[in-house]
Amino acid sequence: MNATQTSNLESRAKLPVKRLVLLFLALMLSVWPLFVVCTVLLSMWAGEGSMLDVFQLEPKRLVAFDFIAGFKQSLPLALGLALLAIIDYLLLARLAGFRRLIGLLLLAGSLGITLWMLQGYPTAVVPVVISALVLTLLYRIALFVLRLTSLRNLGRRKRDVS
Amino acid sequence: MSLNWRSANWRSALGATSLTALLATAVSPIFGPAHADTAIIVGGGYKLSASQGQIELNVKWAQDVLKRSGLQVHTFFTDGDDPAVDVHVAADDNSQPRDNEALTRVFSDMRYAWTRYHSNTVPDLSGGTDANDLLPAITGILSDSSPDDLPPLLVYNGHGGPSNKDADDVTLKLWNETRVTAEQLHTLLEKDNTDLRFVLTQCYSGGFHRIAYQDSQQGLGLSEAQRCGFTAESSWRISEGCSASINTEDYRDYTTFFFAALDGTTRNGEPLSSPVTDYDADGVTSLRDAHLHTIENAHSTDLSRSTSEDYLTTWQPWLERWLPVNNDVPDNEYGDVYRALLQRHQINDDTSAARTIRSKLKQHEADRLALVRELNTLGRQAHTLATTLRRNTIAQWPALGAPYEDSYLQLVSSGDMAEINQWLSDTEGYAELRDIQLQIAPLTDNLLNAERDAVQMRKLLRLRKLARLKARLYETGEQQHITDYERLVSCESHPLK
Repeated sequence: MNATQTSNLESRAKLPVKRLVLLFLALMLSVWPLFVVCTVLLSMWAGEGSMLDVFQLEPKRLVAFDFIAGFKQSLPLALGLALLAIIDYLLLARLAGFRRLIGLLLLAGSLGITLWMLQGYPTAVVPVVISALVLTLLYRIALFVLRLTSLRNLGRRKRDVS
Repeated sequence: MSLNWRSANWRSALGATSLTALLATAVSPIFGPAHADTAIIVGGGYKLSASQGQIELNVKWAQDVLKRSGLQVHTFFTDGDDPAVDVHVAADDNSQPRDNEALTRVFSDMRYAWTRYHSNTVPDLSGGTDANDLLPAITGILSDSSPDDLPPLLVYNGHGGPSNKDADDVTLKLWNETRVTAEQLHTLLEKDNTDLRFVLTQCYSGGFHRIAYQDSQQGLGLSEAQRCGFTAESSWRISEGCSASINTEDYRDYTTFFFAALDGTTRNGEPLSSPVTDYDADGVTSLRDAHLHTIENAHSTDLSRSTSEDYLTTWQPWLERWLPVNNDVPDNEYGDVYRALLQRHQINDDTSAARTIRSKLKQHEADRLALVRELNTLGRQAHTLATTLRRNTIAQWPALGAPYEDSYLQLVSSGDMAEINQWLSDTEGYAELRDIQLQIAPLTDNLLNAERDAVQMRKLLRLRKLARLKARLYETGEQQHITDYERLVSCESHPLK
């Protein structure tokens, strides 16, 4: 049995609960802000969007209230997407052969669920697609960073044992 | 077709306004005087220094228009019939050289040099506007109005205060520095389920749209009573107006355009630059027609709005507040006004219109900021020069440093002021101060014009938004919301009488 196989078996045996919780929270909290950043940037590019004028003509606290209201309203969706990311991680990230497909489930799921939920909002398509791509990219970067950290920790433990 | 006395189109259903007027005249000798529709005008500043001549002239003009329309008008102005001075104006001889110009420029401000004070000359006053007297008086008038009349019309021309909390905390700033908040007015009206139409032109006036709702703070549910109106601005912005100038040609405030549309001529008796569009095609200029005419024609700093427009923006679903929008502008009254304005500003009605508007807005904002910076620099230079000149003058004539004291009064009565004025005029630094002050006045006008130009672009963006929101309400809104919106539009579409 080579080292990679041993590592896979180790990681399959021990579920990294802390890492999963961290991942879940990070994704859940970033869904709405990410979507807002995408829509605002798109609105600025197009020259028009309700929030652009509200931001300039109304008190900033009202924009903050609207942002918080949007966050609360989108929370069920954000929870769903975060859960999807965990499933994605459990199914794909921990198996060496499927690592290249990490995030695929999250991307497909977030596009599918969000576009289905926002059927009545044709202008939501572009920001949803961009947000889903960015979200998946961030997810992959986060997993890469976490993997690097855990590999470093594993190496340190091996050195300590030897 | 049912003849609903209170519906928006009852007049057109009868055929013509003149017919009802004829019937009323014929019947009144038999059954006593017909009950006239009521208008209440409240006007003036909250203290002498904030009671500009423009407000007085606006109130007199609005009163005249409303009376000629056959309404029973109750007017309340500052201190009422009290003969004490309650209005200030800029004298019209302000281009004449002054004997004490140097003293004024160094020790005071030329803006106040030509100020004159008088007691108001508004005719047929029902009282003053101190909130303690005004609210009971208004309550009495409103309770006297018949349910068969059109909703009473409240016209306010004066100052308003902002809110640090909810929109309904904005205020009418009344005589003796008393106040009435939108929430207080809402409570007063809700008590007896009173109908009301309103035209409010003060700063932050948009908060008063909340009196049309069940809850003055939040929500979309409308009050059972029929309430709607028009405001010069939103709850968060100051409005144009309140100049001490008595040159009515300069006025660009909401009143100037709104009442001109209702009257069919400008306040100076000239024909309107463009005809008022009859949006509901009932042959009469309704308050809503006048409002849309004002939006189209007022080159001012106001982003004026009606209660139905406030309803649309409040209704806007939470997600759509954040979404980008497509380029189509639907065909409705807002789309029509938008396209007319687009043509006026020579912007092509194509898919890049929004970007062009935004780019022009950016340019106007940059011009405005450059002017603000220039004015600040000049202001600082003028302040430094005036401070030095004041210090040098007081060093030579110490009595000048203590006005109202005996030595100062002696100095004034000795006739030495002319000599001091001459000395100041010849002193080094004075010519520079005068030059700077003379530069500031036109720059201030330029700044106002830059603000007006920027607001025209904001107005275009707002019209695009309203056109879309209205179309969206009918496409996706709940029936109750559509019904409520139409109720507001119907209320706004009443003619004056």
